[in-house]
Amino acid sequence: MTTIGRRFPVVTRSGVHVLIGFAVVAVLMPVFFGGSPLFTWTTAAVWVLFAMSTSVLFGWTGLLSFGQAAFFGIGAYTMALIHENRPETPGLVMLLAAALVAAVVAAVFALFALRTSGAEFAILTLVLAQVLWLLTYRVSWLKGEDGFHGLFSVNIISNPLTSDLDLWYYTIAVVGFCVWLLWLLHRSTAGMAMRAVRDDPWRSAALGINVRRVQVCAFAVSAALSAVAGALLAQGQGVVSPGMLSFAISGEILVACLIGGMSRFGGPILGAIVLIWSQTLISNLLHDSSMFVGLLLLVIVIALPQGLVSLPGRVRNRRRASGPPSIPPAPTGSLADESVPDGSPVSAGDEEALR
Amino acid sequence: MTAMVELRAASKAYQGVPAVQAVDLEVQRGERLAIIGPNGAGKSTLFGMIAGEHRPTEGSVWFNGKDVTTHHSSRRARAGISRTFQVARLMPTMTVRENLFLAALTGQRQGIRFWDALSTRPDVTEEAEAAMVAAGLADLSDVLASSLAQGARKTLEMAMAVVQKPTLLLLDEPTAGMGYDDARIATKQLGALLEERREMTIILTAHDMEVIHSLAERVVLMANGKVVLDGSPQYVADHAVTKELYLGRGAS
Repeated sequence: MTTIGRRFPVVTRSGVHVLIGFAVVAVLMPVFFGGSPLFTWTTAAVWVLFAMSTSVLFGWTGLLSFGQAAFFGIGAYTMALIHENRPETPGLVMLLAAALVAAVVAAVFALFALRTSGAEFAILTLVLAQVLWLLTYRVSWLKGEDGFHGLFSVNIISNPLTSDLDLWYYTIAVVGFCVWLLWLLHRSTAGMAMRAVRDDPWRSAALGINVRRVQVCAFAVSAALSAVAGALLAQGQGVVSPGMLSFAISGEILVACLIGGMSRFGGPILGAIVLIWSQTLISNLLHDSSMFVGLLLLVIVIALPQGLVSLPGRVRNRRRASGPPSIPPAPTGSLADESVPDGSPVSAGDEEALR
Repeated sequence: MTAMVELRAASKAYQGVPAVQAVDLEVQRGERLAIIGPNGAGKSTLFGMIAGEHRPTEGSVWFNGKDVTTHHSSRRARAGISRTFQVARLMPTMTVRENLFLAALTGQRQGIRFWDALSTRPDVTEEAEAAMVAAGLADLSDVLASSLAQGARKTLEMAMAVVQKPTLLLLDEPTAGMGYDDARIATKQLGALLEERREMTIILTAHDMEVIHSLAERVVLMANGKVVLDGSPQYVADHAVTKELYLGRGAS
């Protein structure tokens, strides 16, 4: 269920539980993990943010982007360029700059690209990412294949990050804050308008929702937070290379969204963690994890089309269905959810209507 | 007094094929107008030109004395035009209650903001609840729109259009897809609703003469993209041209 809850008054929670949840995870994780596993969790946290930002577009607004790596990369390169010219810049300022650059690029791009819809739009986003990827090879100050190295020793405000533990706290704090912002957006009237545009752009327009504006805003928000994720990864790993702009990254983040499922707010969080950890664990055993991830996706698409996040609801429904026959299963609710194609791209429509 | 809706020599062609040809039409505030005609007469296109989904290839569309020809449908909706579709369009992943909440919210024109949490809009909630009860949908409040039956879909869409407090309500085939009995009940309910809201101007398309007689006070008959007859329901229904168009040559 993507919507605003089954009961009115619609939502009473302010998202404090999201913040508390992240704080608990931030404190507990170093108790159980250290060294390399903690670093994997840090990477997973970055991917959680990347997946969530992708889901703003793909899951909430119904715009399929094959080029989400463009904004991930813009964030990373913005961070690298700032670091090269002014290494003493606080890390948080770098993140903010990355978000702004990506949001502006995304908004300008979206104004043109959204003249198309569906598959054409998806192809245009792919083109954007590929063009940027090529640029890193053609523009000398982007340093081509080599990319940027040694971007460590980022200051948060004045103290440098000096250990994996510092990096973990820094990353989880930024990711937690951004996810909290997304929660607020999801529960706002603008968030409802996004879901409306995904559900039926014609009905949305007839209700007076400016479909194009909602889509452009969703694109900018998604891009900004993807850029924050990219910049965070650059700060954590100390390396920025053209690979961050590659189609493989755009594809992987969609896979993370699909594995987790986008019918609930937290789906992409789950998907990103499962993706990163399965990649890491399988890579330790085999050389290449991509086949396993492909298989995992296949199984999920067939068995759980709504993603891992729909598993508890399914189990509950099955249990209810096999219970005493005197209580028939409710005709509504999550059973019906499964027939709803979630995150389907907006179908092509009359341009005049949706402008 | 300026007309509420005015089409001036409005034409629409799809890739050179004319659908509506130079139609002049004035609709006054408070009027109840039905547009009828055989399939392919151009009713839906005319409707779309008023709602804003189709932009005329020639001519202009005026609303409340303003040229709105280039205004897209969402802008016209914010100016006070609500509509229903021939096949009801709803938000499939939202419940009945959420659909109405959304309609009530957008009906306030300035309802959509990033910083407005849904929980801070009890006024909208109340409006939506009242509309739900009035439409007889209270029992279905938590059902997803995608799992509603045909009749309930139409009812919900109508309730959504009305809760927006439009000054002009466009009803595209309000009883299409219903069985005979359901259609009769729906027509009766609709008649009562529209009688309560006399201030709304109504334009509807319909095939069913019963619907037209009970809801419309003026009827425009279209054929081949042109207005052929314009008058009272009785006048149009009894006219030889109508009989010929609907029943074929020689029937009169």
